[in-house]
Amino acid sequence: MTMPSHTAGAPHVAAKAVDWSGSVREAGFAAFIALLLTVPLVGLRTIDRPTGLSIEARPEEVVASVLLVFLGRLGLGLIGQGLALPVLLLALGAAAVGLVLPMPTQVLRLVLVAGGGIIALRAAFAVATHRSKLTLAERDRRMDRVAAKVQHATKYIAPVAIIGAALLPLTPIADRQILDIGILLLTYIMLGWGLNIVVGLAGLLDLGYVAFYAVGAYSYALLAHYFGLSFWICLPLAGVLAALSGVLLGFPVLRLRGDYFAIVTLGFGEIIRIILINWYQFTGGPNGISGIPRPSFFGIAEFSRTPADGMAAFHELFGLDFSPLHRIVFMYYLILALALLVNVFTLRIRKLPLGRAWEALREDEIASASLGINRTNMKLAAFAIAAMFGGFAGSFFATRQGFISPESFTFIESAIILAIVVLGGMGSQIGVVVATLLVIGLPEAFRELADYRMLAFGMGMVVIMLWRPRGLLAHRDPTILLHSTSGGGKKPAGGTAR
Amino acid sequence: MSAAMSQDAMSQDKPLLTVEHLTMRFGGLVANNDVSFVARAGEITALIGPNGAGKTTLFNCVTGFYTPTVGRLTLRHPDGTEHLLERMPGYRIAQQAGVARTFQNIRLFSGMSVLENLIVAQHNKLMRASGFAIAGLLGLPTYRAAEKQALDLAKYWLDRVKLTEFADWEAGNLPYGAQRRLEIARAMCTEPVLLCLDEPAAGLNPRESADLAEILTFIRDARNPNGRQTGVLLIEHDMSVVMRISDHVVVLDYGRKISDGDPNHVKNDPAVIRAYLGEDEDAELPTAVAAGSKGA
Repeated sequence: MTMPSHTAGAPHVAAKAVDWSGSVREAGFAAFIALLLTVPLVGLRTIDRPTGLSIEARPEEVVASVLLVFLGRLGLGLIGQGLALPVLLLALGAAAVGLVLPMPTQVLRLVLVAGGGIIALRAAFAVATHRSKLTLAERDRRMDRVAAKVQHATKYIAPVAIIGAALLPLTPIADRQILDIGILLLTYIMLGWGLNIVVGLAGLLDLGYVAFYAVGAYSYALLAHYFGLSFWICLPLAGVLAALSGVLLGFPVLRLRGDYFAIVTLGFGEIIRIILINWYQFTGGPNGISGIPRPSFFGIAEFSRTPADGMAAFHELFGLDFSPLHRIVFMYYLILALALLVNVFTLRIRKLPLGRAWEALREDEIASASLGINRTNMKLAAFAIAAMFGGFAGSFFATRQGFISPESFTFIESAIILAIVVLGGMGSQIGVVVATLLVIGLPEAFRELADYRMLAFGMGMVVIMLWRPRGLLAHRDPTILLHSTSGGGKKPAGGTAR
Repeated sequence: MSAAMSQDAMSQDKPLLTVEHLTMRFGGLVANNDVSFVARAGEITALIGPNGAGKTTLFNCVTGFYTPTVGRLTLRHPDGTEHLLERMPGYRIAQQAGVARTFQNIRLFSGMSVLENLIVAQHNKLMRASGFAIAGLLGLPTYRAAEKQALDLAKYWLDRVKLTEFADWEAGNLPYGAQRRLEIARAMCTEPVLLCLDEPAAGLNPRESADLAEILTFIRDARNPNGRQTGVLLIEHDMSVVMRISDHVVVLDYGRKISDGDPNHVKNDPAVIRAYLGEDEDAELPTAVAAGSKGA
């Protein structure tokens, strides 16, 4: 491993001496910027005292963060000058210190471990490849190869993952909390896959996807509240109503392009929420709707201990002991099935003229029109279908929570779903799953870090923007191949998009 | 003289595209002023003129990207049906009238594969076959047969433009000349009756230009797999290509038609020579144009 370094890497690196003063100056500058930013943002904290609001200074945190930025920048600079090995050791040391020794605050430990770890990784990479710097294009190509490998591996990963997800409730670790997190993750995966149709395939930046989620949720809640309809009737109805609202919004809006389109969808998302708040008599306003009926077992049995008359109890029907967990498990399977429905739909539609027209529109609208593709209808279809899936997810959300209010459908939800799609790599189905695990799963796992989760979220987004602007697993396989490896070439043996 | 000639021809066989009194104004700017000409099936009609003469504007009117201010554009199919292009929304001109086009700056679906580009071009046919995606989602055999047919047509044109081995490449990764050819193949996959090419030879080296000329004459002479013949309307600056392959040349200058006829007639037309080389010179000019046109 060290052999080629003498020939390839060494002359390049050892040609110039280490520029200490330059590195220190650069690190000092970075630390200065960090100081400017951290004094107001980290150094001052407002506290609510009985006497009124007062400000508390936190100098230690400021000093710690400035010092960390200084050392980190110095480390990166030295890696660039061929001192990767010592930096690697120092960074590993710092991470170990952060892990072992007691720290004054939890945050310092996190920053020390994470920062040290990242720099150590970077240094290890430099040591391994004898390269101090990768160009952006090189990095992108490498990541692309990884993405392509993951994409091809999904043929094997996907069934395993699906079976694993299906068996999860049967394993002993499946307690209430695990299942709840599972349901939450699957809901976001479903929403991500739904939005992926509009953003990933059709290339329309929709910032108001949560509006359709809200329409679906309120459709079920209100239909159940006013007409006493059951969940199984309302589920398709909620989808239809959400799709209709998608068409309604789409007609005037789809003639807009790019940023303008995004802004109008953003507005639509807010309009729906504000209508829900203000139409007090009908929607319950900010109080929301409570007591939304839970789903029955396909209309055959109920999950309560003593079901209403005319209905069987689930545990009696199957000869089980009563457990409140049954309903949760059922919910889990329900959302799993709904999410897989969206996925199967997307995988199939990509190979049909409709899906191909969406991708063509994303690539070039003018050229699509010149081939006789009716742009408005295609976009409306994408919008309506994605809205329908959003509506399904919404009515599931309503029946799971048993209570909904406009609070649940704020812009941040749209932003998170969009972040999942963009982070995963637009159009990539497996990317949505990975991104959901990162965006929803990690914050759930690190709940005790409280607000610092959002800081980490922001940092993660910035890192992705810098390193992988097209999303983690952005890699597109053709939907139809002429020279398929399995010979023949008659059957469309296209790549899997998951 | 040329007008009389084309009048004669018009009465003999009915033209494919008839442009009558086409005027296109953008505010105060008159891009096309009362332009009339015809393009016939089985012929290559070239549209030439100095920069800013209004060639691309006229193209955009024919292909539905602009609606002309005044004038009539009639497209007559071989079966006798007529389509008034100036009254149709853009996508219908390709869908129903059967006019396909390429662009001056190539517009491929660069993230999609070469083959997918050709399949997307058959969108309307496949969309009907897939029952607006429903039959396709269910995997009904009618759709699978239609897709097989679409694949065959795509293979046919891939073969014609010599891109078969690149079929699974991302279109954006193809070399420039291949992208030009792919764009023509994509337009042909819509099975048009009129193919409009906006400077297809721009940026090509002499060998690629020769290949292109061969493809265009093939499109003009051969019948398509569906039995129809395609007329070609061509904007081109490369005079060697224009003079070699076109059957009929229309010259525009400042939005007006200044000459119309076969390549030889146009080459020697004093009005054309004036437009390209300026006024005030007379005697030795025709030879100069002939020489200049070869070199251009």
